[in-house]
This record gives sequence, C-alpha cells and structure tokens, in this order.
Amino acid sequence: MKTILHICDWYHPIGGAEKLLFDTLKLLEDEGYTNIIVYNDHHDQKPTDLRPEYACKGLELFSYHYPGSRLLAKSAIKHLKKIIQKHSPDICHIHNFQNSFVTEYLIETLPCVRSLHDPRLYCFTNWKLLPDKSICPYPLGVECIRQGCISSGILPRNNFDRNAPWVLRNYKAHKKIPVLILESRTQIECILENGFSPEQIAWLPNFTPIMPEQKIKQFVRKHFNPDEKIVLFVGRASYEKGAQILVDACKYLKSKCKVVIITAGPLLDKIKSQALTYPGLLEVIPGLSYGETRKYYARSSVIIIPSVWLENFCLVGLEAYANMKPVIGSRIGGIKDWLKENETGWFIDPGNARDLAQKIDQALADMEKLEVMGRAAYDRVCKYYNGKLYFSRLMAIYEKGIKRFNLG
Amino acid sequence: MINKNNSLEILNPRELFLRTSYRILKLKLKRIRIITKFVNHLLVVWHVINLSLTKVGLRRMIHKKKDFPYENYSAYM
Repeated sequence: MKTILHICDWYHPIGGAEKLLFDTLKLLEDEGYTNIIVYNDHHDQKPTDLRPEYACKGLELFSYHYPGSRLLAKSAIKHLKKIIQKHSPDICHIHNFQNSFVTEYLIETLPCVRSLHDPRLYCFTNWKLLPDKSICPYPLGVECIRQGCISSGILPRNNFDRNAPWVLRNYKAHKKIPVLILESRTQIECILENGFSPEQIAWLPNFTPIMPEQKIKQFVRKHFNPDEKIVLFVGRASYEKGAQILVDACKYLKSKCKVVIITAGPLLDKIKSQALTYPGLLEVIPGLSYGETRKYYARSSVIIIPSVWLENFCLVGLEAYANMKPVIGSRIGGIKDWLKENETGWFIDPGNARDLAQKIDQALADMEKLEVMGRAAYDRVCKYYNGKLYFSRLMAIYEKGIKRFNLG
Repeated sequence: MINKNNSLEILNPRELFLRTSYRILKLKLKRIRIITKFVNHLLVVWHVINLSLTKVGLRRMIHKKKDFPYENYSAYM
C-alpha cells in the first residue's frame, strides 16, 4: 500500500478537522506515502502544489437541495473515475465530506475508511443540539420529528428540512463503509446508538505535531510574559463552541488578566460588540493563521475550551498541551478523554460562566502550578498523541479497511 | 400599419419595430413567468415528497446498540 486517495469538502485551513487533514498528509508523505487529493471546487480553495490535487465540481452537499443533484453527482463521479484510473490508489480516506452519491461510488470501487469529526452523519441539525440548545440524547429516528429538528408539517420550513433526505441517504451509505475512524469514546457511543456495527469502528484519537522539548521551551520563553496573564480561547464563533460563555465569565472574573478570543464564524460580530463592554479585559482577534495562533498559545497562561455540545475531540486541547499550556475545559464529549483534572487542567460544568470564572481565578492565582501542569500536559501529548503513534494506528486502520473490502 | 379603434394608424418603421418588439417581449416575459411558477410548484412538490419519505424512514428506524470492545484499546485510555 503506497498511494492514498483523500477526498474532502474543504482543503484550506479553516478549523481543527482541516488542520488534522494537513498534518496527516504531511505525516504520510514523510513516511514515503503518496497522497492524491480530491476536493470541492470552491473559489476560496486553491491547490498547495505539494502533491497531486484535483478540484472537482459538484462534490459539495449544499447544492443537493435541487432535483438536478443526481446529474451534478454523476459529473463528479466521472471526474473521480478518471483520477482513480490515473493514480490507481490502494485505499480512499474520506475526510469531512457529505456527498452520499460519491461516497456510495467510492465504497463500491475502492477500500474506504471515513474520518468523522462531527455528528453531521447522524444529526439533521449538525451539532446534536435540540431546538432549545440542550444536548440531544436521541439517535436518528422518530425523535428528530417529535423534538422539532425536522418539520412535522407537510411543507419544509428551512434548509435542514430540505437537506434531510440527503443526510438520511448519507447515513445509509455509511452503513456499508468498511471502517469509520472515530476520535473519542463519546463519538463511539453516539455511532453505536445509531445502529452502526462495532466491527466498523476504529478508535483513533487525534494527534498534533510536537516540537522537541528544548525548542518549545525556547519558543515559550521568547513569547511568554508572566505579567500579561493571558487567558486564550481559540475556536469557531458559534453557539456550540461556547465563546459566549467565556464572554459572560468576564463579569465574574476577579484576577487581573487579559482574555483573548481568536475566532471567526457566525457569532463574530456579536462577540466583538460584547467585547466593547470589557475594554482592556477582553480582546477579540478575528481569524489568525496557524503560525500566528501558535504565538498566542505561547503567550497565554491557560487555554479555555467552554464547549456546550458533545465535542468529538477538540484539537485545540492538544495544541495547548504541545505548547506546554494547561486547559480549562467543559466536562463534555471527547474533552473527557484527554483532559486530566488537577493534572493537565480543570473541568467546568458546560455552560456555567460563574464556574469558568472561578476556575480561571484559581488557575491564575498559582503561576508555578500552571507551569507544572503545562509540563504534565506536554508529557501527556508526547506519550499519547504523537505523530508516530498516530501513523502506526492509521496504517493498521488502512489494513483493516482493505481486508474488510476484500471480504466484501 | 396597425388597427386601432377601428381606424388605421400608419406608423413609421422605427415605431412599428419598437411596438412589435415590446409586444413580443411582454409575451415572452409572461411565458417565462408561467414556466417559473410551474417549476417552483414542481420543486415544492419534490421537497414535500422527499420530506415525507424521510419522515416515513425515520418513523420506521429501530437501532440495536451493540457493545464496543474497549478492552482492545486499553493503551488509549
């Protein structure tokens, strides 16, 4: 096995899933594997010229509200056929990708594995949150109608309703996929609840590139100023990521510190306007490159992950660890897998701004303890979430995918 | 030359051209509007059928949850 076909909707750095994709590609290439990329042809996305890359029209799901969707999918499959003939890949790794027509074609043609980064496979409204914003405890089924996620009337109300048939189609297509790569125990439980077979599941926690200890110490020393006391949030400006909880926590904070929110997304303007009420305390930085964000990790004292949805893993936590920083995170979803209370950080009750403020005050009161925890966090990421381990586990998953495909 | 109020009106070629083009355009626009309306109705019907089929599928759905062999992944925990 030497050639891997990767297919994804998004092939530019927008979030954790895409960062993981780019890190995985580099990891495979460093080990001598050839990656072929097929991504959705979108004006925001440009090839990196680092590997064979193909922009393909009609891959993205959102045009699939319309009856012509089958024709679009057909043209995408035609393009894909040519790429497969040209490169004859040994396996296909499907990343963040929702097009069921193309997925079905790939499952029939090649050994496939699919990485899941969010609940979109088994949730019509994307984040497994009910209309009242509480966490949905139900699998895909009649409760989706009873709880109001799908219209109970005859006419579709919104794009979630219009998209529902395609989500269901995608869900059914994935029942036949040889391997589903899942990141955390929470995600595994969700998938099992939705009727997927345990034989299909492969557990693969995320990884992040780690700099050698001396280098990272130098990097942190260069940027870190203990008097600054920066509390950092990195993530999408949307309800489920909980940036608004951190903003709310500002009114309960007692320590002298600076809260920095590096974000982009639908709630950006709202968060920006709220930040104006806390001048000097709260700073919002809209969208930074990975490189610039790393400097902020080094500058900060503690990283905050106040998510209110069933976070699948949250790569930000590993990035904090790799920069020797402890984390204050919600006791929810995949965060519970990697955050160790009083060892590499602290848990908060999801959505509780007072609790968050109290934990921030507690953390900033003892800077020496923060340093010890940062060190423990770095040790933990080196031990469990390094590239070498990820690569060997990924190879075993690819082998499993090929074996299950050959067995039919 | 056009017939107006049972009398004949003689038009110069330019005006004749403009009036007939305008009439043709009006007819074409009307036809386009009718077709768009028809296509929109078809789209709505298509969405209604799709949504109903989805809901039927959801109502029939029964999941059997099986256990995951976490013991095989002890190194992960």
